[in-house]
Amino acid sequence: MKPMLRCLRAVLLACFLAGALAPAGAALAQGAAVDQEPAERQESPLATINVYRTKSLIGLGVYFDVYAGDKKICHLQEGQYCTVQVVPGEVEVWSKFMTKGAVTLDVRPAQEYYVKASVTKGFFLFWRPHLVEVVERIGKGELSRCDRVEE
Amino acid sequence: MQPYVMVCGDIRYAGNALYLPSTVAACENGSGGYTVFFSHEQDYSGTSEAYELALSLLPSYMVGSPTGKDKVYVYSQLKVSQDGREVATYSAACLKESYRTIFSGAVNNSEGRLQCLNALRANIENQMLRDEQFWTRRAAP
Repeated sequence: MKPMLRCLRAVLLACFLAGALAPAGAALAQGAAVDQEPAERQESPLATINVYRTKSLIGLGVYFDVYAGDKKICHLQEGQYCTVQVVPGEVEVWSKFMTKGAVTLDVRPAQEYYVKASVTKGFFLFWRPHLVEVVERIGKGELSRCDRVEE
Repeated sequence: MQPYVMVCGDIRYAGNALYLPSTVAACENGSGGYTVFFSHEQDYSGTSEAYELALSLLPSYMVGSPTGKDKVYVYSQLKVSQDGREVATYSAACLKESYRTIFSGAVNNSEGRLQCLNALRANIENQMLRDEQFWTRRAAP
């Protein structure tokens, strides 16, 4: 009887260990995938520009197109963001809604840039787009509260 | 008028050549071991949205008092080294401020940056041309 009990205990212990170690193994595998991602990003010659517009009462209901150089990135509403990959160099991010708002970035390879878009008030129902480059620390935080523009 | 090329050597600058002071130039032969490092950085700031909203509630904005302000800061630096030894450093900074009212917009940040970079290029050219110490050192055998 004793050998049978010992065998049963060994099987139960093996099941317990397998159950306990499986998530850890999965986490390790996930960690490896996460670690690989920045390495791939570093090798990429392209840079990323994130353009976002936080929710605000100013300019509620005013939407505009955003361009990077000659290429249209997205149609931006309040509380939204969009992302574009660009070739390093001097890149102008701009928008024209009644007047032109623009900011020029010195884009370096494999770097990430944040551009905050907003509108400023003109005469009566006249609104002007306003674009400004923000540092990553602020840009990341504000962007996390925005939704991605649906393609 | 094209300024005199004071330093001819290896240029270490990855940006737009339009912003590079014309007192330095790239040359392969007879560079005299000069290496020129040029860089510029910019930063932006302005009135916050909440402050702008408060300003637009003032009755005076109807007659054109400012409803906001944009600031562009640009800093550039040019270092000249000869055979690995630093010979001269020139730096300049620019602040472009522009106000907007309901009748007129501020200078956009792209235009402000461009104006600053052009001003900084002229400033560094003038600093170099008036640097007597540099001329003296170059003239010395």
